[in-house]
Amino acid sequence: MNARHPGLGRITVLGACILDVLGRPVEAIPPGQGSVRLTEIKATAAGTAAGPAVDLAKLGASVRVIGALGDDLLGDIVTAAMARHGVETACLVRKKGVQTSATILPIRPNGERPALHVPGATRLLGRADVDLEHIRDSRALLIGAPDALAGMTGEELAEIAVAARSHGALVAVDVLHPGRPQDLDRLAPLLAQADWFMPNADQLLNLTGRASLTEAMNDILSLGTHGVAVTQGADGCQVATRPDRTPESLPALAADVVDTTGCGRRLQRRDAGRAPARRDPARRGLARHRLRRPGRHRPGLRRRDREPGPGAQFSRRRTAGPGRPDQGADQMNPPTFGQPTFGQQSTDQQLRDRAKAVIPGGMYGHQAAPGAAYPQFMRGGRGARVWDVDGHEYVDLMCSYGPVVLGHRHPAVEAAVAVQTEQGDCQNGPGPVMVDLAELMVATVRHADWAIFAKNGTDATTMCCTIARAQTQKNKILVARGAYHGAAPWCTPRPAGTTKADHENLIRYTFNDLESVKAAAAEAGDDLAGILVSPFKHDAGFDQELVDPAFARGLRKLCDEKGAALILDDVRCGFRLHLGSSWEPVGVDPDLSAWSKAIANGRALAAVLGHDRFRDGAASVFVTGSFWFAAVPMAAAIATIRALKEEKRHRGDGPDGHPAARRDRGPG
Amino acid sequence: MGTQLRDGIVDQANSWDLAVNYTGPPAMPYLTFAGDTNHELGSVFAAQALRGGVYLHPRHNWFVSAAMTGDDLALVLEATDQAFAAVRKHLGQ
Repeated sequence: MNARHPGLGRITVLGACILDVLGRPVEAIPPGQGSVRLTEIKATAAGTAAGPAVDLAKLGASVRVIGALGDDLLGDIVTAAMARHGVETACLVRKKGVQTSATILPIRPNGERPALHVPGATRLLGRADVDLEHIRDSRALLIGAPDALAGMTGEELAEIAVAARSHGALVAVDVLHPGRPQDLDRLAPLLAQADWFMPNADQLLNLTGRASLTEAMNDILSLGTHGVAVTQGADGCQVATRPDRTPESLPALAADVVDTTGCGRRLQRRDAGRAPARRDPARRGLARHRLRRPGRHRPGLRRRDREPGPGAQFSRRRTAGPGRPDQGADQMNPPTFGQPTFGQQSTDQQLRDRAKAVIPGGMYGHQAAPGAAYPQFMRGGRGARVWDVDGHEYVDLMCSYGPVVLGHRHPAVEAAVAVQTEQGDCQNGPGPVMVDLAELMVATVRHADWAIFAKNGTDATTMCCTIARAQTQKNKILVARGAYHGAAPWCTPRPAGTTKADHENLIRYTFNDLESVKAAAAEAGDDLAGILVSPFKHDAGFDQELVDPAFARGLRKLCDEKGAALILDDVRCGFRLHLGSSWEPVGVDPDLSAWSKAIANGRALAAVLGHDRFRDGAASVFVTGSFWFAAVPMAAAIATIRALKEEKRHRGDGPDGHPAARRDRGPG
Repeated sequence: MGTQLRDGIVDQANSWDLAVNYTGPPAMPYLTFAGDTNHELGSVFAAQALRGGVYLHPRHNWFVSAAMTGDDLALVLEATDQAFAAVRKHLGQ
């Protein structure tokens, strides 16, 4: 994935989680029992851990937060405020009988924010509360407010940083308090292990006791920190790194400050969602410095070999099977990564119980949970990660059963969705994007001269058959045995509720067996309207089979001879194997093709694409749906196709391997 | 990424001495165990992969998104290795 994508990966943020309650505008606290009316009172998850955690989640990172809260309502609110943005909160500890760190912020009309603060539980986070396993799987670790973490020594903090770095994570450190020289003594062991230290100018000068920022930055670098980024509000920021040590100035970007509560000034970029303003706009410019691990060698640090990258995983071999059963046994319960336990109290179980009462069978269709161990209900996803309703995180190898090709909540697609949503979605007529998209599809898919849009794959496959029959004035459609083409009565894999008449114009053949197709065509006689085929055999539950190009060419020839439509069901494969029809690499173009799933990266859209030979038939049928003309999914599709094209340019090939490129393989 | 996933999983299956079929294009793969017509072993594999933080399917092809990173892949392969271990254990050595 290219750099624009939220491939930020997993980031762990450790430190202060504070509930900020702010009201504005507050000119003065009224005397006595007086009352003042404000325009706004808000609560946010703030502090040097919770704030950046939310911002990073908005940027698309998979964020875990580690910190201490009280066992009070405030703690529940802070947790919920982070969880609603997808931050994983399972590692937060709740300290009994202590209040959650909290601040009351009366925001003055000019944006200044005096603070009324209770330090609370943050300072009680102890080394025992931090599971290093949770640190080791991260790409970056942000330690926010080590100065406020009085429950840990500098050495203990350093141990956490070393654990992260030993697995290749970048370590950044921030501070919360104004700073005193004795604080620096405590932070020194941690800063020696940090890649970046990011105080503001006042904090840095106070910590070092220096009058000059350059000297102060040099002091920090001398501790062993790789780089220092010092924010100076409207004056931008200074960045210095070893070995050069010469500070570089980055300008501040103009921003109208309304209020900065919960902005999480660390590690943020200008597109960090809708935070109302930034305390230190200059920090935005730091993004390019930050998520890049500096290449350097520090003799004082004994580092384990860097995580060798995915390639090395593949050569990692166990001694072959039978002799090693018990090694597997004690590794059966990985301690670190969302181990689902769907007990009676789980949200998933509660939803299942409620669903049983109001949804036939508890759930239906392809999204009925595929096993007892599986969650039925999902909460969200970003990139290649998804979360269930109980907060367990998974690497997603189902992609919503196909639609999510670019990753969940791809920023370019979501941006296009947001823009179109502002303008309109379901209206009295389609938006201009419909023509834009039709042009783009026709330009992208070689066999296509026109496009019709719908919602689901079944719409598209059904419409292809209807158009084929309308154009040819014939009835019979040949369909591969066991192939799935949707869930309408003519194609649903379950016979319940269907009639014999629903299927009587279908004749079966065997995929990749041209003789069986010829036999089926002979059975159709002079009543053959079309042949429906999938790009490769992907019948659920069976080994898959790539198409034999000779078979594809044979179908084309047969359709040409009979004047029938070759219909390619590209619903599942379309734009996953090739940026065009999935049979373009095979060298065979269909007359009609059915599309859905991946074309709008998860937004509800289907399409039928066709050759001019079938244009009249397509214009003659009446096909429609209340939501078929909705503009938002079409905008999403345009953004998706553009992003896929961009991707292709970056990688120099199409999506990951097309059917003609490889034969299926496997030792079995 | 799909190719790396395939190579990693096929290597793991070999190392656990399990006969599998890993079929389909790399971006839309599917894994079955030899002779596992009722998907018993496939379900053991999928359930353990899920416990290891990987959402895949015992009876439907998988999809690899363009968002997969090296970190994601490493995590998947950790989990699938454990999942093969679980299948091996299920088979009673």
